[in-house]
Amino acid sequence: MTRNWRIRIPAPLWFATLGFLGAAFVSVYEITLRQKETFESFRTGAWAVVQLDSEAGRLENAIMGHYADPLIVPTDDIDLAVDLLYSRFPVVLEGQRNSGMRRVNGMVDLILQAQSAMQPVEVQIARIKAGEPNTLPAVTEALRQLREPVRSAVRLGIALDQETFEPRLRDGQIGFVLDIGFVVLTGGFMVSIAIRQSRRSQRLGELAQIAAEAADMARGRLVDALNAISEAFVYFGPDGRLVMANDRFRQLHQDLGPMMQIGLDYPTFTQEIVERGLVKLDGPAEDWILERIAASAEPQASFEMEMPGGRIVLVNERRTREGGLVSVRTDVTEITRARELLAKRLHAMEASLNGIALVDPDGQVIYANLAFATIHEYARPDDLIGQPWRQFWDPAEAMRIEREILPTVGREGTWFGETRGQRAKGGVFPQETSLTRTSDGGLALAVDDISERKRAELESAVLREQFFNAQKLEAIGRLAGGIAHDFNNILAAVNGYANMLIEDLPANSETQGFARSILAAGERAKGLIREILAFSRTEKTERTTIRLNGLVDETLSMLRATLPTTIRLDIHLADASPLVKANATQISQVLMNLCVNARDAIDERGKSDGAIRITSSVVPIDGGCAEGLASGSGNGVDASILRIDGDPDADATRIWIGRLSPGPHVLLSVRDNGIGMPAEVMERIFDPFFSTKEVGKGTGLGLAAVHGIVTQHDGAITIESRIGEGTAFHIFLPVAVDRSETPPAPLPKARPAARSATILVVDDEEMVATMIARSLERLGYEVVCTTTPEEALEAFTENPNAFDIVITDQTMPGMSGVDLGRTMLAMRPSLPVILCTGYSDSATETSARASGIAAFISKPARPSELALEVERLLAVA
Amino acid sequence: MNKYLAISIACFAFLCVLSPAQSRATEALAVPTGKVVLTVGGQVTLPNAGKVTTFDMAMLDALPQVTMVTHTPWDGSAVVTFRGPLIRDILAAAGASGTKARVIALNDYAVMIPASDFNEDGVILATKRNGQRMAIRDKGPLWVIYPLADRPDLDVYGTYAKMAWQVKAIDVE
Repeated sequence: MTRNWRIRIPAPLWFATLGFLGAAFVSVYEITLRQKETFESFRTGAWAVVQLDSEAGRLENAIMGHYADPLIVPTDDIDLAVDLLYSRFPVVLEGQRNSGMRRVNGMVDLILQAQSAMQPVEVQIARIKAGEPNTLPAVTEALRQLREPVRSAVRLGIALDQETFEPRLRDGQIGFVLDIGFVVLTGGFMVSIAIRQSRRSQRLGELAQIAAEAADMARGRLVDALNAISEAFVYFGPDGRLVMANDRFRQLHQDLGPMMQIGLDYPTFTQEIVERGLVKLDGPAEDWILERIAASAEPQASFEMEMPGGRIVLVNERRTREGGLVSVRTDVTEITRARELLAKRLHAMEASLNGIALVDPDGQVIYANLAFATIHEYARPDDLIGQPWRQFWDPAEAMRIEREILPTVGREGTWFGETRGQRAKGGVFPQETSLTRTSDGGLALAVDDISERKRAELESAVLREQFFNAQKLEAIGRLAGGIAHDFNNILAAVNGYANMLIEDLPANSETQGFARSILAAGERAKGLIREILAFSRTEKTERTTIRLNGLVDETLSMLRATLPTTIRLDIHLADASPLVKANATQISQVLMNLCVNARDAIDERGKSDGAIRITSSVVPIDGGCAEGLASGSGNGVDASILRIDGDPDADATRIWIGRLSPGPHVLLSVRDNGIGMPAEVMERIFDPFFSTKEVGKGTGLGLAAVHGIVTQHDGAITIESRIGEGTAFHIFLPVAVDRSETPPAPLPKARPAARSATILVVDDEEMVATMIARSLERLGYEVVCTTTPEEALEAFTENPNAFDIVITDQTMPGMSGVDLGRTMLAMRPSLPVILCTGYSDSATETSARASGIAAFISKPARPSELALEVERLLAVA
Repeated sequence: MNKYLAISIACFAFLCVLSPAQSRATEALAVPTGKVVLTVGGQVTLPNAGKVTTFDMAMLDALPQVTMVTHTPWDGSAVVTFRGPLIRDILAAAGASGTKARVIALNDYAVMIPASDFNEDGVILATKRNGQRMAIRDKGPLWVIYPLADRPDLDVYGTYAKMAWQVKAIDVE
């Protein structure tokens, strides 16, 4: 908008002003002109009056002349003078150019007076013509009557001309100037008023224009604003016709196309919407249209309308004050979908197994789902509303959350971690917690009771550990197998040479006794190696009927060296040594494990008067005895704990494991005065790898092994313990029924060679090979000793018939004993081959036998055993 | 050609009409039989009374008459019909020639009129007003009349001064 602030005087006003000025000027000019004319005509008139006077004088002269000499002045002259005088009156009284004179006050009267004085004069002239005597006085008087007014008129005219008209003319000029000035001033004033009015009206006009522009702009802005909003807007005027629809509305109803024009009436609009399918209808179209039109008359509540394509529109209609209809249509598709989604989410939240709760900024619960209530042991979620959030955590945990976690939530918006929740009834449970700050400053809580999972995790951790331990055990087994091979070789040398010492030393001498002790230890070690091998291969070990007392004595004599001297051993064995069918090594292991545990329990207690009491006795089991170890199903191999009986008052705990068959049982007890153990520990002591000992001091396998061994022997265990007083392990083993079985006869002493023979000995362990060779040579055989299979094969191939017997180790670098034997047998099928194996391997033995290996000797081979086998094979051959 | 011919004929005809007056003017005027109303003096070649030529009303009426309808400053807005001979015809009848003429009224009012006014403007010396003789009291008997109605350029103050009435003599200079 350009606004011209210059005063613009409208053309009509200009014309009016000019017209006015022109008219004023013309009128003033005219007035002046008339005035001038008046003056002019006055002067002319004054001249005419003077002429009148001179004519009057001419008449008087003619008359007087006639009186003087009628011949010189005839009456014709008098008549002419009369006529001339008469002709002057109309000039003065009527002449156009003498009008100014006539306006002089009294002038016309004087002239008329003079005119009327003519009659007496003419009468006197007639008397003169008639020759009447003595007419002079009357004539003189008549003439005087005539001339008096004429002279007065002349005087009046001259006086006026000199005293009045001239100044007046002058004044008239001044007056003209003044008049012009007045006119100009008046005109100027009027013009200025007119200009001011014009200016005002112009200003008003401009203001009106500005207002109109502003209104136009405002309307434009309003339209812009209405076009900018996301809602569709339409306005039907009080006459029901479309006044305005914004872009969004047109977009929403674009199918109406050109219909959407100003002036479209509401019913038609509604009908068009239906006809063009712009609304999804549930019922008949007519009903909807009528309903809409009726509702629009008094719009009340907003309603939702589904448009094609699934868009949902919220229609909000209102009447304006002047009766127009405003309709705002909001596309609520997203909102509706969001609402539905929200409902679904709420449903999901309600159904969630995770506890979900919302807390307001004041820390009070405003929403909780069922799971949240259930987890915290509330009957209904509503019971939680208004409760402070702290209530759902262990007080210490609540403090931690408040001091440490909530600041984090405030900083980072969310926190996830494990916390200790508290149930309504007081229980504390582990939970996974998610804390999220909500937009209103409150908190969203999500909790998951993980106590079950924790338990499961713990169990799986235990299982995993067990698995790892089993793997470790297997590895140990493999390792032990490997060690056993080497160890057997060593033992073979030890035992072999010990045998030689026993044979060579004087009988019953002290030194021979030492040698026997070495041999006995070596034999035990050999058994132990066998056990290790058996354990690592989980093979059922060989059982024999043994005397328990002897085994106990033997074990304790070995054990004593490992026990500190501060621990006293009390041993009370049954008078009649009971027999049990058992694996001596295993039973010895049981006893050793129990004694080692007892020692550790005493150590832990730190008492200097530690004592381990070992007793054995025979007790009958008849179903009611043995403190609850009732007879059960058959062989009663059941690893599960039968019963635990805690005695809180006495701090005593008892446990029964295993089932026993009725009959006599050996009861072997190991009792210590150590620290004792609580029920929780006792509960788990037979779990593999469970240990209360420091890492590295115990494998956790000891008691598990005890349990395994005892149950394998159809035995049972009871334990009783008192905290601070000690623990007693009672092992029940069935008494061996076969009393006739005798202990194995001592090996017959090796005898000297019955005939000469050459024996090929192959063992990669030179020490073993040498020992075997020496022991056989002592018996009178000829021995060729080699330490590698290749060397042996070379010697044999050189002359296969040179050797009567071949003794070979199984495990050798380069070639196994079986392969070696097979090769040799291929060359000489009748060759007796003795295979020495470090550990019993049925697969090896089977394939070896198939290959034609004649005999097997378990390492470490006892020289006497070997000699007997050689003697037997030579006899056969 | 026809146009020029027509103009020539018209000129000829005009001369023919003028020629008797012309010839008559050269003749000596008769002595007036009636009352002398006009005396033409000055450079007069055809005097009939001494050195001047006098006219009675009949002599003036014998001259070609011109009717003139006009207003005058002395008659208000009224239109008046004057009739009388052209002054130039009067002067011609008197054999008068000059550049100007002094027109003298009965009251001895005199005004000088250039001869060109008589020759070019068709000024008459009216003898009748609205068909009537004019008395002395009515500005008669003779009145110099200019064609004010036909010639607005003449309708000015200067002309009014030359329109002398109660004319009694013309002196040609």
